[in-house]
Amino acid sequence: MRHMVHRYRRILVVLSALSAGLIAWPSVGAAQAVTGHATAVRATTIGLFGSTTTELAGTGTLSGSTDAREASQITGQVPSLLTGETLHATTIGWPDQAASEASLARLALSVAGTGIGADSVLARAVAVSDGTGYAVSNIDNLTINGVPVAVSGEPNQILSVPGGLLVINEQQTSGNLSVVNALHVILDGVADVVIGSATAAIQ
Amino acid sequence: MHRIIPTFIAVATSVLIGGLARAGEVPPPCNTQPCDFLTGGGFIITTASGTHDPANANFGVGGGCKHGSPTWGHLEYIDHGTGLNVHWQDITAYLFVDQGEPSNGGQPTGARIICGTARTNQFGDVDWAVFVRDTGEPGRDDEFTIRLRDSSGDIVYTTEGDSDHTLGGAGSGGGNIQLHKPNPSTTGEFGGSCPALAGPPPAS
Repeated sequence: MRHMVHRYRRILVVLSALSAGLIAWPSVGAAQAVTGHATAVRATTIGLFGSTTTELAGTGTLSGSTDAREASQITGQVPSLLTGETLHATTIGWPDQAASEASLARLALSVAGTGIGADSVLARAVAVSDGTGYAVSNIDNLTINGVPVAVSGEPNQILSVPGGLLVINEQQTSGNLSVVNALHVILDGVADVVIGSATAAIQ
Repeated sequence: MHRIIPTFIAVATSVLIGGLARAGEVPPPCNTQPCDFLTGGGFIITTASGTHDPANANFGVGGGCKHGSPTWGHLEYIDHGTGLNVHWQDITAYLFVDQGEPSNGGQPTGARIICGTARTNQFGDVDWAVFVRDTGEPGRDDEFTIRLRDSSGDIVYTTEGDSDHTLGGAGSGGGNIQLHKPNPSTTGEFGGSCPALAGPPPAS
């Protein structure tokens, strides 16, 4: 558990560095610039011959403050890993704001002998030029191996699962950047799965 | 009778008053509210107007005006009481219903109707309309209602007769609906074509 928490903290450092890169974008001369994207599922599985990343209902990245993107699927699956329903993702830009959102229902995730389920998962990130942005997750009836899990609502709630971690309401917010992953399962050397991911940034 | 039925009927009535040639065409509202966006995901507890026992119905929805047209968005809907799957094909209308006071965080609140066509596993291709309301945060008081009308003009499925249209029913969860302000791409007006609102209302 301790080495997994340490690895998770290293991931947070990487996420912070990525965030700094987002804050530095775009180049000199641009006025207010926005970016955002949302994905219902992003799953990386690690095998003998390398890793495979699958994205379900991903919006792609906003092209700017006049853009609005959406993606959806009636059902989605990553074979031998997870299924979900009514996958939904949107990202919208304004001159002074970006808002991204992703959700799915009836999550059934099974990895390395651990089953994670939820009736509904939603992540929303909003970035505003005056710094009043926010990130939020809504998770209904979360279970691990059929046992209900209490979701505290606090950012970065970490639970131990066999072989790794489950991070609930994983957030990275600073200034005009908001990043939220509603559920993030990290199994070292096996899989890295994000359910409900939303990013919004403006500068 | 729940307020949603008068709301759907009120919008449909505006079609007749507007006297437009095409069935289901909806004129822009008389107010000056600029067109905007609405997004959301979650579930309701529905009996589909008393046709089955209460069951979760999951949804993901978006609507809005982009680049002059009220045709941005999508709809995915699954009713686990019947196994009905609804997968959107086109967005044909985005309609203003009302506007509330901004939430504590300054986000707009209010209700919109989104219309389109969809493919279903039980009724073939249909016209659909959803009434969606953002009441602010948290989302447990947000509302979602759906109507499907088949190619013969019959209403084949609706949750309008349910006693509770809030997300998650009487529970504390159920997802969230968010009404967003317009962006520079929303140069269009509320309106479009909504055949699901035309024709007779559901039987009471």
